[in-house]
Amino acid sequence: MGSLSATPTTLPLVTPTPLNTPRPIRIIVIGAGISGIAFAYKALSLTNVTFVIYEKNADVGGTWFESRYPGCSCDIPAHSYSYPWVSNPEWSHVYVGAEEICEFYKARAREYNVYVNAKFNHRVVSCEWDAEVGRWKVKALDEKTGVVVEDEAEVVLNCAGVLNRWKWPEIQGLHSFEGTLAHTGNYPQDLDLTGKSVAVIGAGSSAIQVVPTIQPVVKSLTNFARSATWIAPQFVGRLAPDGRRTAYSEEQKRKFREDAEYLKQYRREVDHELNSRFPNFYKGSPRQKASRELVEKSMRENLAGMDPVLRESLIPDFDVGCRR
Amino acid sequence: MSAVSAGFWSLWWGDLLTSRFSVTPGEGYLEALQEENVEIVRTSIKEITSNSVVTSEGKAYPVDVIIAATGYDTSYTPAFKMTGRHGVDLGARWAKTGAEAYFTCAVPDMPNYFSKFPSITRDTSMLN
Repeated sequence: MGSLSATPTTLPLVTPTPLNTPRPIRIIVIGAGISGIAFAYKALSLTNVTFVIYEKNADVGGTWFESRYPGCSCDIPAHSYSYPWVSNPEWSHVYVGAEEICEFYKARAREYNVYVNAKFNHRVVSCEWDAEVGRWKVKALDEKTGVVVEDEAEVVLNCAGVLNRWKWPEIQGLHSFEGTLAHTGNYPQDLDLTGKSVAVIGAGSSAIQVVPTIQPVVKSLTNFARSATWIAPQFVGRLAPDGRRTAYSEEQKRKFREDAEYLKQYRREVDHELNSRFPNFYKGSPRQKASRELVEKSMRENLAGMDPVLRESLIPDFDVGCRR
Repeated sequence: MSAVSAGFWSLWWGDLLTSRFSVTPGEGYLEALQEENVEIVRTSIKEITSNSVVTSEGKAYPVDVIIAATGYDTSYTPAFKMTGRHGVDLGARWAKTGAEAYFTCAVPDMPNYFSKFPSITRDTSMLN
């Protein structure tokens, strides 16, 4: 405590900083997936901002770092699955696998200084607003040392995503199974399915990628699909005449590389094609009805060899676009 | 399906387009279901034993491996404790109201907190 007799501190009449100078702001970002990396890019153009990214995993990539089940890939074209401000002339296929997506975003992370600003293996455990100082008090667990680090910042950005808290199905006896039990959200990379009898539980986005990928190598495959799912023809079919196998030729990639404007235009067309599907999601609209007819027809054609009763049971009774 | 400027597409896809225009290829899932080594079971699962998946009809399917493709917790509540102004607990609030946010990114009582995907909709169909 200072004594009362000391010379009182006088406030300067004029602050030493010019008018409109942004005050220093610290930002805590949670998660170094695609969103967190995007923030690092945006931060390059911010003045007087410092930031740290807390990432629970050992590396960047988020969903695409964690999701490594057989057949895992984006289900919209890769050229649309890139930031608006950076194109990738090197995408190998129209739809690319998890590894290729992760590598692309890893390279962006290096470019945008994410590795300088990120703390890996740090899982945020709490954020508490301190009204006195106008800052968030954040605690993160260092998974390696078990130490909880404390930090604070004016702003918190939650870029944690939703596809990381995978959960076991609630089925009686699930964990009494003595064979190999795996979840697509935490898939064991050394699991060899060759010649095995395999059950796949589910009929969502993961299952419909896993089933066709493992079918050629397994002895037998039983897909437990309690609910029906709309299996739409691949988005942007005309862009990908061979579906998932559609690769870009060297010549196409060279053109993408050499003509930035051409690549940009190509990406606009891809986006336009995707966005033009939006009216299909208006409930009860003529477009939704039309697309339902189209998808039903496509499913019946693709299931032509199946027992008719089973085939009809696979056609959902809810509208297209309600869920996936 | 919507029109795309023909001039652009003809640069690359030209003849491919005209031949495949109306047939958009699928994922291979429906095709795989019809392979000889594949069976699709629509009955719900009653239980899993040490070596089998058993349906509600009592039929047992012995397997070596079970792959659960059963998804994620998509409640959007933060995986950590989030305490905002006036001690408001975001997890507790969203457990009651569902994930609600202003323009899907800002939340009352959480000053200067911005979130990706808190989502005012409960529908995951537009997420990826």
